Amino acid sequence: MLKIINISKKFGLLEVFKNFSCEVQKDDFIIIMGPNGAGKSTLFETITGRIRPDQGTVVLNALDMTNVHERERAHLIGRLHQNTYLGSCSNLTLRENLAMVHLKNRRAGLGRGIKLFPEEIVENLLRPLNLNLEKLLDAPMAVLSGGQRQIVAFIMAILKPPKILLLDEPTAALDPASSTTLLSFAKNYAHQHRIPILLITHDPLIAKYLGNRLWILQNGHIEREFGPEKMTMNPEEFFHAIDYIKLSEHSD
Amino acid sequence: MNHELVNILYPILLQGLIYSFVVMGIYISSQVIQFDDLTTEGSFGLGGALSGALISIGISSWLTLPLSMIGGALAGLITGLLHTKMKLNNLICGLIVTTALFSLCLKGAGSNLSIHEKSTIFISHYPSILILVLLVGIAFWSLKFVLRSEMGLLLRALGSNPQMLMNLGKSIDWYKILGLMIANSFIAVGGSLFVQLNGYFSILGNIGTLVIGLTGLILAQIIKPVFGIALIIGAVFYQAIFALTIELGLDPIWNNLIKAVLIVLLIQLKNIKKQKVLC
Repeated sequence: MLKIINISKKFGLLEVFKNFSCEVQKDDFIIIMGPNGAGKSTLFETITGRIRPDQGTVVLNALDMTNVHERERAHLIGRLHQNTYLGSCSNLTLRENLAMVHLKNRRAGLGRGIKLFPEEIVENLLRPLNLNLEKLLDAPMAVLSGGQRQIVAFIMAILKPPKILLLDEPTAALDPASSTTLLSFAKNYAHQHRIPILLITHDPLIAKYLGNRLWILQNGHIEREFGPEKMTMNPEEFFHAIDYIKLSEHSD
Repeated sequence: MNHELVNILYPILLQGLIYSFVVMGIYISSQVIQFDDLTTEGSFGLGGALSGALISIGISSWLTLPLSMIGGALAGLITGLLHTKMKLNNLICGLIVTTALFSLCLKGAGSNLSIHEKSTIFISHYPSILILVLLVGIAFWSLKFVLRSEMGLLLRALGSNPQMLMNLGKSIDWYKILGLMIANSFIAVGGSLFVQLNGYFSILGNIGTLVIGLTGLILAQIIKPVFGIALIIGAVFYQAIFALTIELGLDPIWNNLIKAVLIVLLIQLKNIKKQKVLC
């Protein structure tokens, strides 16, 4: 599904990746942890195309994407940011935001924008979430809570099903209840539609109980990798195993 | 109604309606796509110069309106290209285009050009106010139509979150250019109507257009509940305030100073209103 082959990237004197490689399969839900500066965000930016590697290859959906523009890759990638304002447009209504997603793979014309709103998602997606989103369809996004905005951003990222989802600390600004709603929704969606997810987090509980793989990234390489066995590991043993992240963060 | 009052209010209304084209244009650039565009004065002058020059050689005055629109759109296109392709700062791009247009307008229409003897859209059986209300109505409807369209959704999205366009696989640069083209085409039509109503083109006639447009926009924001129509009311209201200062007997040499003071006062009024809402 996604192959990163021998990428290297330097920012001035700072070498973030040196011959970094990794592979993501169709059913993967990979949690990525690591101290600041480990290369987590650079990895995402390399996949989205915002950053071009100095060398190496990015293969997505069996296509070499290394030199494909970020705009073209966006058709294949769904993305969620830590900042809950980045996944939608605050000056547009919820209905307009969701309608706009349908312009993803086609040219925008002069037809009425909100006619693109997919009415069926009210019953299929919004109402089951119990977040009252169906009542807020004509409210500007700015009046929604951070949790509501983030789940809308997730829905916007999947309405035109992507080939891969990149979630960059999506719950960092959310309360526990909203975090749980978002993560369980993401997990169920990815499982049902067999879309791989890469999720960056600093939360050890998410690292332990979510996803089938866990990468501990440090100094531009995967320092340690866990498989599904992490879920059955003794919590104390698991947290101890990933504890060095905290130590290295303190030393930053 | 008192004839004297009508004599004062009528030209104010006409000028205000013409400047509502400028307010709508500035609304698109500064509010919808969040681009501080200084091309305004250049494209207003260009619309006027084009119309003046074309009417003086006998071209239909109605035809000069779409031609001015195209001229304004081209000015917006150049500003947009300078910004997106040559990576120049927003303000610098507008300044460059306005400066360049000054020479073009001089070449095309000279420093002063009278079209009093020629046929303009206001020389007709219908009163000027009716023609202007009709044109402003069409412009306002078009603005609403564009902003509610699929393209309009993306233009509005660009103003609040450009990354969203990238997420949708759209070109941020293209939508910036499109927004500037639409904005400046509105403004150029304003310039064309200004020249046709007054019957002459002056190379200095566009000075202060940006401030007038901005002030109209701020007024529109103050009377926000009916924001759409407020774009038009704001422009008219500004002309009324400005005319009042002249009626009070102030020397016209203070015109631009009054404009500058007015805009500061209105921004303060807007801030006070915002604070009241927050309280």
